[in-house]
Amino acid sequence: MPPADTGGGEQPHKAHRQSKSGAKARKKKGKGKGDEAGGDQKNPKAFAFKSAVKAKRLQSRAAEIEQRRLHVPIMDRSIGEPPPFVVVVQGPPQVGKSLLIKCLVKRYTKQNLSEVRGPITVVSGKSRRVQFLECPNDINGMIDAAKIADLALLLIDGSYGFEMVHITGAGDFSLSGVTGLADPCPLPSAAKKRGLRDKEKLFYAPMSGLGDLLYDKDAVYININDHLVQFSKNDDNDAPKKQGKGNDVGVALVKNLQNTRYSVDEKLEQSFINFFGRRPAAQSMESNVEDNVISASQQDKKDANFRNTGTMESNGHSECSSDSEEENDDATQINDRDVDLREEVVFHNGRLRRRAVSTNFEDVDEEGTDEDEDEDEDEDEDDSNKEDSGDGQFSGGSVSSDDSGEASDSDGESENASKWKESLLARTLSSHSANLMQLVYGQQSSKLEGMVSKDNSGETDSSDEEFFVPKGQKKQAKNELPSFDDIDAEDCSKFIKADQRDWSNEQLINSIRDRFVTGNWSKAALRGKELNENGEEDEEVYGDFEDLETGELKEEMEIRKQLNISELNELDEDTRVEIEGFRTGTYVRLEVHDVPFELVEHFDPRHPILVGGIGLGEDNTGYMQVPFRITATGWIQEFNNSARIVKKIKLTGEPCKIFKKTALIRGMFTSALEVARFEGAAIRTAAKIELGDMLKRKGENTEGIARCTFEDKILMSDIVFLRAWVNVDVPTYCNLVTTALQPREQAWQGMRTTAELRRAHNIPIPYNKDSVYKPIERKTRKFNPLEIPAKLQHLLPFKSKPKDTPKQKKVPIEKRVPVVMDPIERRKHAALQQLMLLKHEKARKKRIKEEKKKKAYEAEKAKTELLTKKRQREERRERYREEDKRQKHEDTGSKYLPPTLASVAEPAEGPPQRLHLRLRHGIEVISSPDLFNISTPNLITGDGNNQQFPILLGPGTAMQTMYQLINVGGQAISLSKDTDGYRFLG
Amino acid sequence: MGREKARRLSGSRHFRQRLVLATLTCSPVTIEDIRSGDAAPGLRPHEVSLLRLLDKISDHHSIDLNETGTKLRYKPGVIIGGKNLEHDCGVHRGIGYFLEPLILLGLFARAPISIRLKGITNDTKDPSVDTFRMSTLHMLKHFGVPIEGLELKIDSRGSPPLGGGEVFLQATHWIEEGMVKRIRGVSFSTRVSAQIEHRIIYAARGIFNRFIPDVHIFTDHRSGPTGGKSAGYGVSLVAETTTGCLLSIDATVSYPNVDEINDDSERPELMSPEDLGVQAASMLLEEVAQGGVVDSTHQGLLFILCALCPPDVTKVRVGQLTPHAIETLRNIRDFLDVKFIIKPDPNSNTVTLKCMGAGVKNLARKIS
Repeated sequence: MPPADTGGGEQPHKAHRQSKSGAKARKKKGKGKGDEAGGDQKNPKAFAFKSAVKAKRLQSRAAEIEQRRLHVPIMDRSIGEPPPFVVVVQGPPQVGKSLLIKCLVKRYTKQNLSEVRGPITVVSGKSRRVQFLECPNDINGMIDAAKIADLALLLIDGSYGFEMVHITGAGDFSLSGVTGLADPCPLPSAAKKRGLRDKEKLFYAPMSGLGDLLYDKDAVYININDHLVQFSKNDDNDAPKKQGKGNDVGVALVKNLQNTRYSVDEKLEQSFINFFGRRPAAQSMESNVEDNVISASQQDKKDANFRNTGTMESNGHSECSSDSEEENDDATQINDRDVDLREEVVFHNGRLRRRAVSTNFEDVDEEGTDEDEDEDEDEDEDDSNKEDSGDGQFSGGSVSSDDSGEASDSDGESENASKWKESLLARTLSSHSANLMQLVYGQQSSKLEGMVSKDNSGETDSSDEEFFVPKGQKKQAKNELPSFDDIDAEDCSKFIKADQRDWSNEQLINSIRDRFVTGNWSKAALRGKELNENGEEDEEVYGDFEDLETGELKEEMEIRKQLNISELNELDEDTRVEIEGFRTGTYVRLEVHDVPFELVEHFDPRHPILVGGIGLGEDNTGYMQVPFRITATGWIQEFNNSARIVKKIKLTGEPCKIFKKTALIRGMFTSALEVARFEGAAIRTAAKIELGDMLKRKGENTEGIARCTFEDKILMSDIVFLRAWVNVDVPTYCNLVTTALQPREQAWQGMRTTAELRRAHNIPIPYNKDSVYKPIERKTRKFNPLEIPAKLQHLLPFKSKPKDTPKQKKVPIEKRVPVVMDPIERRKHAALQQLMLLKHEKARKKRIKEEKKKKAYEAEKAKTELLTKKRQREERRERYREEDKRQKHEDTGSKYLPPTLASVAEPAEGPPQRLHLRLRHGIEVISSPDLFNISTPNLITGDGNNQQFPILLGPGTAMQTMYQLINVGGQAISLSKDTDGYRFLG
Repeated sequence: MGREKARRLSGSRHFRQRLVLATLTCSPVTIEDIRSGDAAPGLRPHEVSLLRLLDKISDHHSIDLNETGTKLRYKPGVIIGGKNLEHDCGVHRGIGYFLEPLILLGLFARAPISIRLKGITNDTKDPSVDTFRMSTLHMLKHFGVPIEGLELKIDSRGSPPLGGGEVFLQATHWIEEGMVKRIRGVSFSTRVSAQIEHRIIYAARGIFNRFIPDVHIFTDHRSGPTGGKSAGYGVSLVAETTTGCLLSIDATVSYPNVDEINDDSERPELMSPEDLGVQAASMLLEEVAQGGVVDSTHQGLLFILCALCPPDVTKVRVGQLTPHAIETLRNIRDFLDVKFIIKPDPNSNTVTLKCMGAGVKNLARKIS
């Protein structure tokens, strides 16, 4: 290495410089040019549009491709570990789907899979998991698989080619519980420490009989390899032989386990563990039995806290302790921050109680009285309930967890109700206790339930009954401030403070002085800063957010996502799950109640149960308008609860009485009600002459006759019709495909449709006879001739007056007078007729004779003419030859054209010809005074563009023509273009 | 199948919120025991009027009311919206009562709502139309609703029309309260001397002068047909902070409502304009003292908007939670299944609320 390089390590290397000249550059240049311009130069027309249809089609295709590429940017809300990538392997039977999966699994995990049953999750990389799923061989299974597939592998049997396979579900249920589970095959990056056993966690296939030992909340999956199975019942006889040992204690225990008829929780359900030797409260018994069991067995450490709470409650303890416990567990953060609250742990009646005691509350005095009241109340309650009386030991100024006060309400001392409400409200307004969330949302597990359920808007019926209180009292409560439990409280968002402080007080003024721009800015800033220190450290992010209004959509999404993550990460896990829900890629346990037992009975791991959620508003039937494109990534354009599908209908009627511009129409409607319904509708007549626009109701006695107004008078023969639209109901039909509730081999058959039933039973489709179209029979209309009254005729102008038609020559037969002749007359008549016949015959013969004569003469004449022509031509030729000879002889070298040119310009006997003279660019002078018989301006075309321009050729005009060929240069005149008019002869 | 048919609720409280949330979540509700223990059971006229309004702007819904009016079954449909609508709000509650739900529904309507509401513009129970114009509509801005799409015009004291728009909400972080930089307001008087307004303003300004000089209160004196039918006067004030938060209050003096008049035929003594001015000013200062990005009246609306946002984290800060706000939070929890993380901030005596929006979409609207 040269020293210069080592010395300046940061010195950039010399950039590559492309050669701009020389052979290489030329090569590159030529290449690019040839590629780009080749098409244009060689055959530009080949790439132009020839047909508009084709162009349109091409355009739409381009748009389609563009659309396919273009998706509405959807925010990726997945946070944390990605869910497994679902690979669906699909293909006809016996094509090797299972084999492929087995091989892939082996490739990733080095484990042999004996059987592919159900989904198999494999950890394939540091941050990637792959879930293989063999697609079942029926259409429902395929549809299901398609819903979840990230990638589909199609296996084709080469000997068949592609095949169409011909051939899920249970219904909608509401979830009764979702619990997160430990990840059975965590990503290597997520796993804390790698132990020896971790190798096995590379893969999770609970149904394929492989995998790890897994606690799944209350179920346990154990996988034992085949060669390790020694205690299972099947091998009962073989086991001792293999082992060759006597009965081990462990072996016996395991074998015993196999003989048990009931599962552990079933057994426990029958037995009852009593912690405190008390009967559980009746109302919570059923719900908490299970909880007891589980908390007793301490299986689930994670939920122990919650469950203990439940247990406590079920055992009849007051809610106070449980609440404060939970509060301390859940909201330790909050408590820690609140300096003025400290915990006091009290042992009473063998119970551990915690109490939050406030030392420096300002509102102590205010609240003292309230608290006292609470005390009394609590004591009352305790006495009446004969429960532990330890609750009432609050001293003034201590804010025991607020819930105690609220909770006591559930038992409902009606006379104290309004008082405590007041106190509650007062506290709501004044105190900022740490458990605001509890105050707002209540605690489901505690006795606070009474209140919560009321706030829950009475989802439980029992709470309502407690509100049958004397009317007077209710009214009293109403007059006070809006309270929490008044189910008929006034709906008013305005909040009016009862007391009004005097803002002229200097102290008060100072208290909010800094909230105004006139105050101390630094102090105000401090106020915000403290908040940020407490809760949010994302001030910068917030600032970014402000800026990004102008930024790009994608960028904004990314920032928003980051913001979400930062906000959510502040929270502890439970709270986060509560507000965000479980993140993608989390293994959860879904608890669904009231599921048909067949779902479990006929469960086949090869058809995994697919669970999906229904969004807001998606669970009611409606109509959607969707563009489905080929790409099948559609979106809903419009969502409608009703679709208006209409049918055209025409109501017809005929006039029964016609007035000037109105008419009474009959037969269109059947009742006055119908007429009223259509008042104002547009009507028209069959002849489309008039457009009716108004429809008025007419008759009292005549049912269904309507008075209609038209633009003009209509005729009795007109058919009046009204065009209307009738709504057509589309029957809504929802039939769940419940294939999961039957053996998978069985073909699912839904309820038969009416059409299918009709077909099966050979029942014709019923129809309304009146709706059948019948051939319409109408009389052909006869139009009378137009007759103008005589009076009117006088007034009409002559043009419009009917003219006298010319007299007919032949008297019509009926008008002729019959002539009866006597015998003499008849003879005379006959004689005359004969004479006339003779005369006619003579004339005919004469005419024929003359015609013959004429023909012969004409033939003779033609013959002589032909001869004469021949002779004349000969003569002419002779003469021309002589003249030609003579001229050549006389004018050798002369540029003047001979006068004989006249003969070139068309035969002499024809009418004056128009001469189209082609003028070239050259000039030639022709003396041609007498030769052209031209009286009108002639149009002369130039050669190039056939544009005509007039040139007046009078007798005194001489023309100059000069041929380009000779003088100027240029192209020769082709023979076809030449008129032979002028040719240079020299 | 296993899903519950209708949400069963009882009592008439939070009638509006329940109906609005039911509509937005497309979940049918049955409200029972509406004032069943009351001497006059059943729905009040203004509640019936609200139902009629709902009936006007939506489609394919069903509203069943039993004879006594104590039980209501409501199955929401699609909010249609539309133009040239008209609604008579009656004389029992102010227009604010109807505007609050209407604003939320308008955001999720198929077509923009343009409606003329007739009724009381200012009363003691509901936020006045001035408050709506000056503060509520501006609040929506923080959720990505363009302010241009919203319009509220007061034709006459008594009948303001509202132009509505529909948009996509977006999550917001709104915690900076800032400092009050100016105070604006509108005072109104109908069928009384115009001088009264000046007396109100004079009194209110007297109090504000100790804090901030930038106080401007406009007067809106109405007489004749635009002044409605009864006498009254009042003022609404808005404090604008440096971060664009608007805290508003309003106070009105008028004779009691028609239903209350029957009890005592004698007309009660009304508060003097000076007292009203002092009261209004004190109320505004009270709101300022409480802190938060919105005033107490708008807490409920703010929370609902937060909950309707797309599933992003929304963060807002308010002063002390009002009972109405608390009830709103509970209703949100019940209907939308959205829970707020509520953190008190002892330093500033405020509460910070955080939530993940429910992602309610405007299904009714046609996508271009």
